[in-house]
Amino acid sequence: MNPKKILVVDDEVDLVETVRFPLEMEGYHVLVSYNGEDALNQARKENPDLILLDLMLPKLDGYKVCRLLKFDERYKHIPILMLTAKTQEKDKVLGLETGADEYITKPFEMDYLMEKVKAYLSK
Amino acid sequence: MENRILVVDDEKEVRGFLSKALSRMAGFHVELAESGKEALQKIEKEPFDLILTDLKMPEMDGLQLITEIGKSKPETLTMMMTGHGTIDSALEAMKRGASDYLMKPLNLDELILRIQRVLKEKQRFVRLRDFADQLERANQELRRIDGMKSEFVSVASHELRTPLAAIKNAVQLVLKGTAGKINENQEKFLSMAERNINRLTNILNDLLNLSKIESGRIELNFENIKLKGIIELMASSLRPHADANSVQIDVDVGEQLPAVYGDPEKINQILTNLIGNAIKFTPERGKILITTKLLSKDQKGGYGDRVAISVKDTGIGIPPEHLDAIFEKFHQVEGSLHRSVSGTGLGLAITKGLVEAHQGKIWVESELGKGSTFTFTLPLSENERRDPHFRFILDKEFHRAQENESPLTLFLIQVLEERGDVKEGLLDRLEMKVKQCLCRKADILLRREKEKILAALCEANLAGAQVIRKRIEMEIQKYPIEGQGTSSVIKVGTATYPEEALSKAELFRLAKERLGG
Repeated sequence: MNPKKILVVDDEVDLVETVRFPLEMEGYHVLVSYNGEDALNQARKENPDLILLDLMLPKLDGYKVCRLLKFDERYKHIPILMLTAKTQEKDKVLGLETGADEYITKPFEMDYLMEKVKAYLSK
Repeated sequence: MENRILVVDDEKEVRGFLSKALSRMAGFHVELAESGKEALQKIEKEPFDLILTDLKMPEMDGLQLITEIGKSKPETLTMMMTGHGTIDSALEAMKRGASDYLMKPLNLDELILRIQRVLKEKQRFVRLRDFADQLERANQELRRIDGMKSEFVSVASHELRTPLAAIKNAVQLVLKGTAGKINENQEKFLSMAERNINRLTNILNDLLNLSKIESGRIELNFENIKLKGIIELMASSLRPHADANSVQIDVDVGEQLPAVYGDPEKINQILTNLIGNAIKFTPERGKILITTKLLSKDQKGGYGDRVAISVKDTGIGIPPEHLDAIFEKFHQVEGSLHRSVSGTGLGLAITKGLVEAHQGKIWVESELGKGSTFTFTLPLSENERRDPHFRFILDKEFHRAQENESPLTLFLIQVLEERGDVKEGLLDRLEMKVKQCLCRKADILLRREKEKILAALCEANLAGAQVIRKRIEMEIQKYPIEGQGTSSVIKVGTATYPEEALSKAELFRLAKERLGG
């Protein structure tokens, strides 16, 4: 069986690396994007099994990326977990309104993230 | 600077005499006019500090001149010279704004003295006014800076989160062995790093919370709450933590306790902070007891019927010199018994802010070595039921009106009853009636039984507000409400943003003021 494909999107290279590494150790195939536009293109081209998406991104923000994918019949099945430094209640509501499956605020527990990823991939 | 004085008199000799006297003896710059008309022309061209005018002059008399000056140059001082037997005119001149009057024949020394006094008074007034202006400006600046501070805290805490997340992830990857096996010492120190990252995160969260509370941007979702359930849930969720420190938590809350009006999440936060603190400062085999009590109006902690919730511990107590400052930001008392939990120094400041957002009060009683009792109050849901909500909704609606540039009218409706007793249920029926008049465009937001007052907000401009107001007044006049006594009057006060009031406070003040009129 092919390994599951996960797209990690964040403009902070260090953060991407600290997320990519444990995911690869778990045996996932990890794709990365450092801006919203590239994330959207990769998602459409690679059709990943799950996306970890930051909100404040260059070129196209995470809300828009999420909306464009979630309102598209072809991609709306892909679980999107938002990882963001925006902690206000209204940001969270906005995030979930755009169709995100989870809203996880930074900093987060690595174990928690890994569990969430596993749970969504086995659904 | 030389004071400029204009002497107005139709008699040439008087003009000449005063001109000489005032310029030579008192050093004023004096100009002359022979009629009210000429005087007004001169004043229009150049400013004067003081106009000294005769009463009886052809065409325009001194009184008319003073009235005209009051209209066109209200800053200019005026003094009237009158003959004997015309004291009524002199008083009339004062009524119209003259600073002083002099009786003819004039005593030169007295004249100069009085002019100097009037000018000095004016100087003092101007200085005071300038000070007031400066204070107002400084105040505005402070408000602006305070807003910036809150904004800064909010932005900073977001900006700090991203690097913090990367550090935490990296530490956890190594600590958990994902990046390879580590030895005992490495684990010990990485755990230390992890603990402090968590601490930093807590501080960030607290700072953000506090800045929201301080800037009034805190969002509360009010509902009627059964306290017993909430308290028991919080106690049981904190019991593992208490057990680990060998501290017992007991809850003694009666079944009969009436519901309170509050935001359950925020009340959870208040309880977590207070119980958490109690655990922190209570030695092994200590006890924490949570109790509730109904307070009546006269008791400490409230101006209406309230519930007081107390968290009592058998801990180390608070030194008396710390009692006053304990709710202040970053105030910490040494001596946490369990080193693993270090506080941010913000917990009690946040707790106090949250309690106050519920229109409640919080206080502490403590005895060194014996323990502390923190008590806070919450409003009952039946009484003043929408009161705490009101401030929040007013904030929110006002903010929205500002952003959307839409109008907003505040209605205050008050029953004034001379004999002081309003019949049971009058406010209920009045509320129904007012709601009908508002056409469901607005809800009653505030209801204060004690003052017999209702408040509603409506997206109406000045014209619309007047129509609704008339409708309410007519409705009440035509169909008196059951229970409305013969001596009771129902008044409606309104204020509209932005046509009449530009600030929230102004809106409220104006509406309230109009209730009285």
